[in-house]
Amino acid sequence: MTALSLLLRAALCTLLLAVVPHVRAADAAVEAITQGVARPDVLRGQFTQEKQVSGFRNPLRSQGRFVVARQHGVIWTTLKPFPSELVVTADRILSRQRDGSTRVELDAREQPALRSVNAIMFALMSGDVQALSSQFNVAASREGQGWQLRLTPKSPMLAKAFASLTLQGDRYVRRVEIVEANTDRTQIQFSALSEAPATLSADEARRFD
Amino acid sequence: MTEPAVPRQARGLHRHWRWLGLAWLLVLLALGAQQWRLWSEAPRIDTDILALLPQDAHDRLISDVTRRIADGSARQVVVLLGSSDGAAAHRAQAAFAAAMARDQDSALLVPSGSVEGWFDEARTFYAPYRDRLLTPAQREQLQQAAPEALAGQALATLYGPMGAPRLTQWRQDPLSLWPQWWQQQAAGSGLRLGEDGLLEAEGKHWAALQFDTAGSAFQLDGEQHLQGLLARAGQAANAAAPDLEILHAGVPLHAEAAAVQANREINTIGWGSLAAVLLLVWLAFRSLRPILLVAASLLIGCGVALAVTVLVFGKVHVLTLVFGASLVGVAEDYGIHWFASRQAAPAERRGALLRHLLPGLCLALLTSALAYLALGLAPFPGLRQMALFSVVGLAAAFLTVIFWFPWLDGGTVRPTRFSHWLGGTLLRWPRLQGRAQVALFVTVALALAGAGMSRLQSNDDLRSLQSSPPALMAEQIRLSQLLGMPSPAQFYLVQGADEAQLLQREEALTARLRGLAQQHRIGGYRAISDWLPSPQRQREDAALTARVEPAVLAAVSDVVGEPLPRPAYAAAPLRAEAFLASPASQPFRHLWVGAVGGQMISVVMVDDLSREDALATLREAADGLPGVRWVDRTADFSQLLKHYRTLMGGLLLVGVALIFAALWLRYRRQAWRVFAPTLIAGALTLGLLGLFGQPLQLFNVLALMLLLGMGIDYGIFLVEHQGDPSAWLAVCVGAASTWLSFGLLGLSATPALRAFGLTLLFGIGLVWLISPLFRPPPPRPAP
Repeated sequence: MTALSLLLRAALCTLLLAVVPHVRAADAAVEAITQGVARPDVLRGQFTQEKQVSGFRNPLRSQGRFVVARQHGVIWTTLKPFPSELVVTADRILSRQRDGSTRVELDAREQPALRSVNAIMFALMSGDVQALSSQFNVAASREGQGWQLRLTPKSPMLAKAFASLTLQGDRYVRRVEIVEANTDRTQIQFSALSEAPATLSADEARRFD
Repeated sequence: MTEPAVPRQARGLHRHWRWLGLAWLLVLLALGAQQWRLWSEAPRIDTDILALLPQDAHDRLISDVTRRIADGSARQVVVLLGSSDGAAAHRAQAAFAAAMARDQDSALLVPSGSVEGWFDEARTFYAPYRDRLLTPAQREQLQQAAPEALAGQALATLYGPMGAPRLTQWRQDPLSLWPQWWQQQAAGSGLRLGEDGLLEAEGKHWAALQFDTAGSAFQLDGEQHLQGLLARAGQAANAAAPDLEILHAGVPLHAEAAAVQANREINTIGWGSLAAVLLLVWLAFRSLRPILLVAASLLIGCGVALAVTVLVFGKVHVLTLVFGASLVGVAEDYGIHWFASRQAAPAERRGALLRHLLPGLCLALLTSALAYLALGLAPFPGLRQMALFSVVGLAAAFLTVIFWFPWLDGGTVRPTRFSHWLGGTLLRWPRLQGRAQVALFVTVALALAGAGMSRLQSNDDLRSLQSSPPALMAEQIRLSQLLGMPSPAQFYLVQGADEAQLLQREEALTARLRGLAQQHRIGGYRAISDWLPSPQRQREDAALTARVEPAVLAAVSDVVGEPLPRPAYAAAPLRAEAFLASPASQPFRHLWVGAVGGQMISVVMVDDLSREDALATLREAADGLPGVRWVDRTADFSQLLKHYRTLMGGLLLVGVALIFAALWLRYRRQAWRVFAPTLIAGALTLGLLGLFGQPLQLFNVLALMLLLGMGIDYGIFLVEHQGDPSAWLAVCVGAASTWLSFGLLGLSATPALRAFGLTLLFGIGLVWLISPLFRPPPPRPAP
């Protein structure tokens, strides 16, 4: 259940960046929004993140860059306050430290029960809205050029991990807020988004292996 | 000259005989009243297969542990609902639970506590000990990794977009060690719930529901209450999810199936035999009184047998009842003999008739009782119950006949056409004349028997006692594999001088088992030391985290710019007493046996024994580990069945020799006439069993013993009463009803009883046909 929350978070972060454009929701408002969102194979950008973690007086701020490749996964590179990297693929989540050491945070192959989480994740990545709306209630709203989607878990199991997920954007997702069940709150702002080059560099591709 | 003496003697006999009859009535009434009280207290029917098996006298401990493990799941019923669609499985689960709750029989099965509720309780309980609960991989990592690298990881996960899963405040567990510990526990301990609460296996999503039988509401009255309840709930679930696959398992379901089946078999065998016996009695005597009296003797016999069995054993096993039902076909002999003899004797000579019959009837009771008692020689409580039931039943029927029949049977018993005809068949029956015929017959019979016996194969599988319907067994096995349920019959027994040594020895074992599980050579295992590490390991692990974590906290504190002191944990290791008293230990308590004979004992269970070499692998895993013993109850019992099959086989031969010696003393050169039919019938029976592909097991051998005890009687009668049609009538009616009863027992779904019934069906039938062939030549007509 705990590894679950980790993987789901991974799944959702990936989803929020790369998958939402595929949404073909029954809801007309959701559909209108998703049609206006870009569906690049590769999307790069920068992020600033602010986490409010219970037990810490001050928010934890970080910045960095990321790559979302629809066929592969996500490379999340933190630059400040210290360098580190997280690579999320279908099978596992891998962290890499400054000194080059890596650690597998989670391996779905060793936890067969979690494989179906990945199944959901890929259902989501390939734009299978049925899977999404079977897990979350989706509420959509428009504000001028922009839009907002608010996702709340349907199942009590999922509600143990998340209170809500909110994403805002226009042609791209611009802002994400994750509120966990334990009241930890993460806000991520995306900037300098770019679809070019449309293929992964050799260095990026290597990181997914 | 003795004319006046007879009535006086008869009167004397009558007088004190009547007192005895009255005393027997009082005994029966007292027994009836006592039983009434006993049965109204609690049900006395036992369906547990373990109750049939011996408690090893030399190893009480293993028996106790086996019993404990069995009791641990004795009330559990598990239901799995599988669908290719997870949402459908969830819908089905809800519909199933709702249907169970509103059913008229809902009190029978109450939902067990959920895993989630347990997890919350357990997490709270373990929280103060978090610093000393490490997985082997974590232990290795903390020992080897550089503090800076660990700090880097902690920072990365803290700042990462998805954070790390946490079960506590971050400061309590800066390296996120605890979630991994729980994850490993969950993976290894059968608490395999997927992300949506469903199990994933064989391409389906399975929702699990667990129920317990409510003790007071659970009854074994031959009705399918539980199956009915589950079937109705299953229909509701099916309506919610059409492609649903439903699996049930649990000891109560087997108990109910056994009770339903036994109920049916007792009716078929018991009432079937009774009807047949009474029909034969009616045909032979054409009057109501013999029917009523024979029926009374049989019912009293069975009733007293049941009462005494319950008095001695506390409970009576359903298989005893099924076997006991065949007693009807044996215990009718005494009544039949009385009436067969009465056909020729007037009412006023009843006293003399009784004196005349008594020695023969006593002898018949004695030989039959001895044959049944031989069943009890093997130390199987089940067989001893059957032996006691049978002997007491025979004795009670016998006493009823000798005490009451002379008293109640006051009318005349006329010979009938049927009895005349049946008695007369003896004269027309072929007879072996001269050595050549006898030699030819014996040679042909033995050749046939030998041909069949060469195909005979022995089988000592414990499952011959298992009577559960194959479909239910298949479901149980499938569900156990899906859920990774541990085997109740194979386990490790771990012993130690004290708690600390015991847990350390367990840890040595589980280290090996983990290795085997990683190589996929075995499934998982359940050990209490996974949830209650040895005090030594707890101290070592606490020292390790106390060395590493402060450095990590300091490094993170530098980056975030606020102080992060390490919180305090429990001062002393978690001990068994506290653990066992908490709800957290609830799912694992059956693994802890506790103090026995100055030693501390625990059990380590294993699952998924489907690999062919799994048992050998597991047995080897205990090699060289002090205080660890691999126990395979199935193999033990099969070994035991084999041991007693050969032992009883030997005893059978001894019995043959003894009986031949006894017959020789009485009949000298005629002894072979008494003896040959039973011996040839026994050999042919073995041959037939071989031809029909029946395996030879302990129960066939026991049946042959019974055949020896009963078959000899027919020979004795025919030699004792040479050419007497009434003796042949008694033999025919007796043999026919015995044959029928065991034939009906041969229909039993329990392989052991079927083997018993089939052997006697062949054996009794053959002795009956062969005995007259060996009868002595008719006495020369008097000049």
